[in-house]
Amino acid sequence: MRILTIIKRVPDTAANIRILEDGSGIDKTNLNYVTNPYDEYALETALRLKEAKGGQLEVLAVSDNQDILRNALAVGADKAYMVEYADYDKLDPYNLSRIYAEVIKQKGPYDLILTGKVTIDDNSYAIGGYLAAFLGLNYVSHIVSAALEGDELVVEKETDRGSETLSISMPAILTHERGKYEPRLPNLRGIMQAKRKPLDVLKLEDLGITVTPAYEIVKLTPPPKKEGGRILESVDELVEVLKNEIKVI
Amino acid sequence: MSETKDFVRGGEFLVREFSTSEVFIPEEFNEDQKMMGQAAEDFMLKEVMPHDEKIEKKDYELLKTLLRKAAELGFTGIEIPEQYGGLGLDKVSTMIIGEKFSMQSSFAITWGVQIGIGSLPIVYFGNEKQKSEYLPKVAAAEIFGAYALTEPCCGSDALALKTKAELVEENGEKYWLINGSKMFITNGGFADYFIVYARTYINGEEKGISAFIVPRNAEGFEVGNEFDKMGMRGSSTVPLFFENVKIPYENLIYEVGKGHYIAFGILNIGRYKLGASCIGSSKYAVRDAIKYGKERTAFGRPIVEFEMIREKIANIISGIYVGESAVYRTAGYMDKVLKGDLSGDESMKLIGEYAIEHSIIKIAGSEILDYTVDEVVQIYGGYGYTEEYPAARYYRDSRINRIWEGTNEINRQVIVAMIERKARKNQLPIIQKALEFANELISYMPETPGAGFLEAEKQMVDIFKKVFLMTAGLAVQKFGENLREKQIALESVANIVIETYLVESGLLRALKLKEMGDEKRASDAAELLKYYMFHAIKNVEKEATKLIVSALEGDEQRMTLAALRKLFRWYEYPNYNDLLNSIAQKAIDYEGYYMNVV
Ligand SMILES: Cc1cc2nc3c(=O)[nH]c(=O)nc-3n(C[C@H](O)[C@H](O)[C@H](O)COP(=O)(O)OP(=O)(O)OC[C@H]3O[C@@H](n4cnc5c(N)ncnc54)[C@H](O)[C@@H]3O)c2cc1C
Repeated sequence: MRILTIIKRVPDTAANIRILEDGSGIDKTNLNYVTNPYDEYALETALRLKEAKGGQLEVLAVSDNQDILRNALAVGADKAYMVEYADYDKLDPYNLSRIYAEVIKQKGPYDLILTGKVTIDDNSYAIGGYLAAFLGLNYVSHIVSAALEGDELVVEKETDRGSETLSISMPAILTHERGKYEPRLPNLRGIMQAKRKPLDVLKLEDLGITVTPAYEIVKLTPPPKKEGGRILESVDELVEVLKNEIKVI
Repeated sequence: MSETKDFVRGGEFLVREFSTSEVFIPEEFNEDQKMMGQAAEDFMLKEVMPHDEKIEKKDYELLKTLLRKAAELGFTGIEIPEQYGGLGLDKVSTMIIGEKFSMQSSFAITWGVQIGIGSLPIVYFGNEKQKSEYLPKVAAAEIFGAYALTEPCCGSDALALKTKAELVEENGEKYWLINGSKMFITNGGFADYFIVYARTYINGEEKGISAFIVPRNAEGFEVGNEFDKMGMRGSSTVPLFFENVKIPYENLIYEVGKGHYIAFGILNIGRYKLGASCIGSSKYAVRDAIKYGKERTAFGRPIVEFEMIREKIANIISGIYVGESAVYRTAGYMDKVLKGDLSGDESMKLIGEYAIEHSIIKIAGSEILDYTVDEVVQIYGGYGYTEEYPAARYYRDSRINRIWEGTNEINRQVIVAMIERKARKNQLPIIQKALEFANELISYMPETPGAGFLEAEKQMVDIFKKVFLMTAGLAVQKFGENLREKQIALESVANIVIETYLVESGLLRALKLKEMGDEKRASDAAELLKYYMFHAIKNVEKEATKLIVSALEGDEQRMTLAALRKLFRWYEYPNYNDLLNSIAQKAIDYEGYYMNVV
């Protein structure tokens, strides 16, 4: 079985994100980057599938830095592709998906493609849908686990009303919710071995596509500052504040 | 002129100018080193920190479980050679991981003993059988070790230890009989084996100190109760008692009478690692304080807007900057000479070459951290004095670092003793240089430096070296044979040496960043160096003055003090207030130490 996991490099969820004074972007000085957390769950599921049934696990990112791909190799992926693109963090999901689809066409075929349900930097849920459409693949979103039962791929998916267990035929694309199991941490030996695994750097020219971004970021604004809490003396005062100050009742 | 050499001698920075190509800086961490740092941080955050409260209640089983988890990821094998189940990592990686593990102090020291003093005597000095028997299990955290040197009688003066090991031969059997006691033994509460130093007797004759492996289950061996400690409360610290403890002859490590050599060699390694972990702790503590200070308001403003708070932040950040630069510069020297070869007598000698630097970073690291945690409590105000906030814990946990691995008093003496030894053995031309400069001193006029990037600071580093030569020369000349007793003079010389290494490391890092074309980082680094330089100059002047007025009187004193002042007078200080506000603002925006690489 050949599996591809698509991962994205995003600012560390614990980092203090500072917006540049002119609002044109974020201040990247000393900013720590991580793999998009939902992509990490996708990678974990991919690793488990590979461990259970054997096969080849590849990872793909559009980025200007190989670090997250090296991490994926360190935890057990066999091969990595990086499409070099400097402003990858500003690229819209449609064009990003076009690049992914092109790599898949040229480097595939894959039996299974996994990625996160959302990229947390731009809060976009679009990749899975675009890829399914571009490549004509079966598609299940928001999965929490996947396993092979015989030749059948069985996935569990969360819905508002509970969970569904689905059987899906491959080739398919799955997008991952927060998983039922935590992504593994890289071990030091894996890190040392990662550099001996293949990491192909591709350029848009090599892929033969051009990208015209669909939109441009006009302005970023930080979230409103949290106001400190206030301790009220009595229920009457609370009612008064809710009625006349906040005007919710 | 600066020169580039393949082999840098320990202490050599005192006698010549160094070039940027001779120092390793954190910005040169390779991909593996960065990933390992990140992996260590992830491990701490995901596997250790969730158990923080429980760890602090001291739970041996939990500590062992966490060590086993660390082992699964390779963290307990980092200093064990590959053929014994470890990873044999370079020193830079070891230090980066050490910084990250400092996130939870009690666990960090537990791990530190397992991979450090508790097993390194076997890594470096064990025979083949001992290595293959113990090391794979240590790397896998299947067994746990401890290091027992200190005794109730003797800590700093460890070589005065009284525990005895007698060689007994009866019925064709050869064994050691151990009697005595040990004090403050980390991990002793649950360790499976102990590396015990004892005064050795063969046929009633004293043969010096030797090191032995004592298994926990040996008859007559007893582990005492846990101490109720100020900090690192989750770690185990116990006394040990030996009453006619019989251990096989083969449990001797290395050779009879070579225990002191093992003990000091291993402590040396402990010192540089401690320096790194203190820098790591400082980063975590200042991060928390800044976050708190941004939220906390007084007089209608966040307290980080007050200059007196900002100065504390700038002091901490600049201290971390020079400390970190010194730590990785030293790690770089070791990696260069060791070339990946970790264990054995030969590599122990190569590591020992940098004993001066190790003591420097032990002292500097622990004092930067103590300054940090003290001011962190201050930034938290009354809340810092309660256990509801992390400040009190940082404060308690930090304090031990000035005491163990040789107290800072002892390490200051080590610095001077090592310099003296290297001078005597003609490994460093200190005597010639000091004499040369003594003749020049009265007429010496520092040049006016150019206006280029950090040119003035570069010249100031050179001046520090001259002050070192002057004060060391004066101390030898005035106190001669009696110098060992003149501890305040020794301390002054040591403090000048420490400041010199710190500012030079910070300087070379900034210059190297500039050469690498990273203008932004180079200018941030330069600003931190200039700010730190203010304090370093005042400190060096003070220490030199103290020594001069202790050694000289009358006209001689006046002339020498005038010569000293002349050495510094040319320097035009940048605006202190502007520097402190700029540094503090960057740290506040970033919420922590902003020169961090991993
Ligand atoms: C929590 C903890 C864990 C420890 N873990 C271990 C361990 O695992 N294994 C182990 O072997 N030891 C361990 N130690 C012991 C530690 O290394 C010693 O406490 C330390 O070396 C100091 O020795 P001491 O306590 O006997 O102090 P002392 O030697 O009595 O010193 C007291 C004071 O006198 C000063 N002093 C002593 N001699 C001089 C001098 N010549 N000139 C100037 N000042 C001097 C010291 O600097 C210090 O300030 C641990 C200690 C603690 C508290």
